Amino acid sequence: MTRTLLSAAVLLGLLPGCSLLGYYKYERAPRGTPEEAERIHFPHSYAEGIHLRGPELAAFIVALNEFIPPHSKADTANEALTQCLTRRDTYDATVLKANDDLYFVSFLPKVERCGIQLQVPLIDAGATFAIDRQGRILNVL
Amino acid sequence: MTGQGGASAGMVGSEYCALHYYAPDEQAYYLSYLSDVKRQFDTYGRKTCEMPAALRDLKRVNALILGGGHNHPHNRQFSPGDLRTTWNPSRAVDTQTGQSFHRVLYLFFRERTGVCNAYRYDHASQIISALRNGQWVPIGRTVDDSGNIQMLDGADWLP
Repeated sequence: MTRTLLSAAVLLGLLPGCSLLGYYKYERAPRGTPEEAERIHFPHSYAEGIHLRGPELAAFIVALNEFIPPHSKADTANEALTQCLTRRDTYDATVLKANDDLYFVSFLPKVERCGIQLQVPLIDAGATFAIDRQGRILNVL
Repeated sequence: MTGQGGASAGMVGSEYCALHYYAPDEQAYYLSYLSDVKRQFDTYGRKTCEMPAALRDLKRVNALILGGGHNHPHNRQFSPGDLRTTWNPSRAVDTQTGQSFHRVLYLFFRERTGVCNAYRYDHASQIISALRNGQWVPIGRTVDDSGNIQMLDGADWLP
């Protein structure tokens, strides 16, 4: 019994350390209510949708995880701007296939979406990743 | 800017930035102190420089801010983020003389050879130019509000 408690204490003691090492609990997306689900009618065709082929999607996921890791936050001198740049929907993303083994994925912030008009523009906000078919990041702009 | 610490040290290097402005009474151009303030302008934030948000030059209270300048430690091109946001308004006017100035963003990049390449983006005309032999030579222009560039025929970032 004492041994079990000791093990539990050691384990609990290690947990904060795990977060320091970059371990994050995977957070599932919040779910709507059954009533909301009832009101959803799935379309018969997705032809008009935004289509990503598998290799493009794989490159996009690599870039997304790099650019917006879990719990990442912006940090500026302007609180409204910080909140805006922390929101995921502030960024527009583009995936460009250069060839079968090279994809470019770019993220650009659109702060006007938050109703913010900056007098002095941001420089170098956003990023563009060059990613190969194996999911390696070859360069970042 | 390119002579500051880490200013040409590649992806692990440092960016510096400053405002440039015009003093109508002296008909002279000035550069503000350099900023090396690094803020996280997005959720990634590997390389940034926070431009001074205001000018405090007590000897030139009617100065006109004409834009900004910064170095890239890692590449000689404007990033899409540089070209994506525009100065608002994109022109500054000297109300005494009526003279109009286009606001421009400068970019400086020090090559491994030690040569400093300079580029400018004119927020009003959306033209990108390179400084070649003392002359600003247009090399491209932005085509949308996402920082996408169309290079002019035969033009490139290097001569």
